[in-house]
Amino acid sequence: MFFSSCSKELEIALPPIKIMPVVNCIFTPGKPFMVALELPSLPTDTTITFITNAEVTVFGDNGTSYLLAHLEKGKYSNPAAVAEAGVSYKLKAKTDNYPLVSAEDKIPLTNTRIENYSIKKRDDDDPINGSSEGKEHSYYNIALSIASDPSVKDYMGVSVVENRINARYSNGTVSYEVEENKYRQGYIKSDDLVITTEGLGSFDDQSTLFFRDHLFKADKEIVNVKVFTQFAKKFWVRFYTFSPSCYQYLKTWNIHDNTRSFDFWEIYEPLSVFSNIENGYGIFAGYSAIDQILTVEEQTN
Amino acid sequence: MSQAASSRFISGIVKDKYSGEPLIGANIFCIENEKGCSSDVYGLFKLEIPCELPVQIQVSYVGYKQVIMSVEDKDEQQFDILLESGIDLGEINVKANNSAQQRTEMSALEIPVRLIKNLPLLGEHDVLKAIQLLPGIQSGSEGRNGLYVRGGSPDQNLFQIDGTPIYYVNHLGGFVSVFHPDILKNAKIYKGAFPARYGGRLSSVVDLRMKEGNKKEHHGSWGVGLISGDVSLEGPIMKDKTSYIVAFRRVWLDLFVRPITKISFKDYSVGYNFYDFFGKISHEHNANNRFYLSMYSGDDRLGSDYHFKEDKIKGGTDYIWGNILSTLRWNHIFSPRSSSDITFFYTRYRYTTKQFYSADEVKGNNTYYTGVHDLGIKADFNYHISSKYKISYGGGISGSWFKPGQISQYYTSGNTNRKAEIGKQNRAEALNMFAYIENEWRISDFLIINAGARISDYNFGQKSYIAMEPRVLGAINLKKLGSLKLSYSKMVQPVHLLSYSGNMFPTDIWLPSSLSVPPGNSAEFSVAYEKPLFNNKYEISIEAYYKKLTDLIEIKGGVPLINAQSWDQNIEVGGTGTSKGIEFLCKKTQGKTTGWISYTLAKSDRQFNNVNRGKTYPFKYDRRHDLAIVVSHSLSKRIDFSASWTLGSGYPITLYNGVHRAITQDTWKIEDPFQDNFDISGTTNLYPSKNWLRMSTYHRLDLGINFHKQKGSKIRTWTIGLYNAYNRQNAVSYTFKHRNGFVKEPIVLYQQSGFPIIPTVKYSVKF
Repeated sequence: MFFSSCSKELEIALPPIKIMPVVNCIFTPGKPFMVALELPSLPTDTTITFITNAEVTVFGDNGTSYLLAHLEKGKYSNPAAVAEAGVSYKLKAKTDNYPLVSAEDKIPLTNTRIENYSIKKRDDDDPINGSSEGKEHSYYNIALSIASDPSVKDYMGVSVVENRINARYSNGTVSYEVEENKYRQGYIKSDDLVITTEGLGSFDDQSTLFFRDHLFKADKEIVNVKVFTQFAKKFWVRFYTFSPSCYQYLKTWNIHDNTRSFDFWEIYEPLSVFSNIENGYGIFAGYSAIDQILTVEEQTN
Repeated sequence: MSQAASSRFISGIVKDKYSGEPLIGANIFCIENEKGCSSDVYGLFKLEIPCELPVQIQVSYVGYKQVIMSVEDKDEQQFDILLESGIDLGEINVKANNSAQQRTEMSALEIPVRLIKNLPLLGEHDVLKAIQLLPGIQSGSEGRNGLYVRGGSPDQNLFQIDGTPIYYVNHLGGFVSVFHPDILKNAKIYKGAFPARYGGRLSSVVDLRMKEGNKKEHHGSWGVGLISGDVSLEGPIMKDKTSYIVAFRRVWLDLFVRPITKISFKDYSVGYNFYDFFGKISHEHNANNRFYLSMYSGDDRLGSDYHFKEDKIKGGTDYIWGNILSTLRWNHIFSPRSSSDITFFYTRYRYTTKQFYSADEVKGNNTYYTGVHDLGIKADFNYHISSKYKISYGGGISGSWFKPGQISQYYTSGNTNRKAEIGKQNRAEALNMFAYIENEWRISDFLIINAGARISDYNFGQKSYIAMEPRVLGAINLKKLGSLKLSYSKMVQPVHLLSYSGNMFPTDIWLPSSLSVPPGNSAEFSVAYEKPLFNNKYEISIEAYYKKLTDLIEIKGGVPLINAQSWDQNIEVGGTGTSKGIEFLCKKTQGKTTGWISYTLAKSDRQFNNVNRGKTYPFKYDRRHDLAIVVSHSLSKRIDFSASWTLGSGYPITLYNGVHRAITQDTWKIEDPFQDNFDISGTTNLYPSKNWLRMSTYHRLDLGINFHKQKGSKIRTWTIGLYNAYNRQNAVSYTFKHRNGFVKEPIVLYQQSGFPIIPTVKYSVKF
């Protein structure tokens, strides 16, 4: 505060980063593998170096193997290489200048499901940050009853799309108009312990919340999610089951993305993003998802 | 037996002749039997003398004329010794209780308050800033709170005022501490070799003692600086029996900053201030009973307000944090050999954020609160069995009430009123009991042993943590070659602080140990060599230490603290740390030019299974080299000058040195909510490891000069200072951003620097 204006440009020689290929691939059942390969760059460099001449192969423990062809901008795929749940896949990427890049993961079999839900609208009683715009911060609390197999560790996530209804609102100084039948990504939060313990409960503009069943007290657990909107007709809830690597990657990336920009005040400690790539950076991991429509009018299913 | 028959004990209090203020650490020496001792925190001493009278007692204290008095009456067992100040006035000294050979302490440094007032500092004289110039102690980077002792973190320091713990010791940004120098009599810091009477923290004990106030005449002082003002008063309530002292200080930055920001931003204003109030009443009921009531209250307040008059919208945010503490002590002398202290104490720290707003009929506010209260009693006893064997023992019990984070919300609009409480049930309680014993045994002129132990029980309802903490110190008197000392201390810390490292704001959340978070532990070995030189004008000391820390905690990466309801799930536990170093101190204590040079070579690291891939990484405030040169020179009775220069290795930071695109969840496609939504739409920063990069070397020169003028009973002083005299841009953080903030410009690395050159001036009057 007293000294925040004292800043100067530095020219220091940062040690070179270890150049290794970056793999970006998250796969889901029924869809072909799409593997993106590139090289990392310096923080001061905004150009992207795609790897376009790699030999990329995916091996399944069910005896399948697929060679992926380069499409464009470092992306490799094969329409026949369709991922299946429960199959363990190994990725190998050979490049001219770097050691063999490899990774292994699988799409978990789904052991969890949403059994029931209830939706309650909370109006105005959550005035955020001293704002006078209480209506803007109304939210719907969606309580999801999740059944889980206690013998299996499950890694889950939930995200929401809302279908808005037409409404007008005015508090005398500010007026809002919302068009009918428009879909919108629901920005969600949660005070639920199973979610806050993952460190993800309070960031703004989150599209997915992550949680595990290690804190579930029984086979069924109610997980509460707040969707910040005023006039919703329906919610599309996407319920994910991640592999442990996929979960770690997405969770750490979300925290990383929400905290890395607070450099000066250091409100958060920097967090590295999880990677399961041998001789490289990035992620090769699987997930599955189930979509469900929740209707607001009914209030309780 | 023969010794008991041929000698006896006398006791008394060493006082300032003119104010009646007891003097801590005065040396009392019997010439006939060459036995010596030093006065304690009440000025009280217990000395063994021969039965055969008369005997000569020599009493000396830095800055006072030496006294030699004769004891001639065998019934005389208790008396006060009055010392007259005047000699070596203005002397600068970092001293211990006694000559190096006789001290039964190590890793302990005492700072006379007179020294604090001589040092050139940023605007306000400050005891913690002075302590940070000593070997093994660091301040952290500029603008940050905290005291880092031998690789420990700020929460591992126990601060006590008159024996009562205080939780939050810095005002905003570490600009100045809460300890007003006008009220302090003595400051002592233990970096290791902790006496068994201290416990509850891992890395240091800072024991501060308040003055008792002048028992003979009323005096006072006031001062006005650029950003603050202070006033203090002291005097007798009953002459020679009861005295008072009060001091008040306020920073008035808000008086300047608020109008300036209001003019600049029209609808917004920002202001900051803090205040400290100290008060103490001391009552000498009789020669054997003394009572003390002391208190402190202080708050920082940072506020911002907005008011859009046209839209009738207004609101703001206030951050308020601070301490209250109160202490009632009873000091009782049973006999010339034994005495006791009974202390009742209460201390409270709290931090609140209040947000409020209104627009037409809509009104509301949010309040966040976290804090801790302690209430307790403790008793300390001393018994001199002989001049060779002294025993100290005691114990205490205290309760702690924690509120890790509570949010209250209130909203009203027309006829609608709503209240909400989040985390109201979110509180914790703990009961802390301890007992200790210290045995000081002078086995011979060659060897002194101080061995003791502390046993503590920390109970928070669900579990009780019982710990045994042995403390051993051996001192070998090498006569003309100096002295050699060795020590081992084990410390246990049952309370934990959740605080983002480096954060300037006091988002400190104190919490007790829990089922999943055990108390922290430290074990420290140290060895020291000390030797006075040139007829005690100089003293050198070299000290090496090795400290092992276990059961440390750290906040998980990216986890926010506010409303830390499940705090023990949001932290990494089971961390370890090592800290090792060599400290060198050479001080000149007499003459017109005095000062010291201190140098520390140190290394401190941490290891957590889930941090930095389980690999050991440098502690955030690991500083390999740390040098301080402090000089004070008295040009005349009217002018004295001082300078300090510090040089240190840059602190380690976690900066990224690479970036790549990342696959992540894109927003769902508006018209097709069921479409897959993973895409390469983000970026990831690559960190080689935690705290891998050292910022640039830190160095700074501070200058100060005092002009004194005495007129009658008044002494007027102008203090002029220059902080960071050659305007060194010392790094606080590094960050990548587009040059000059323009997106079209290339991305470059910027250094955020700390305080630039700052001139200060203060006028004060002592009457």
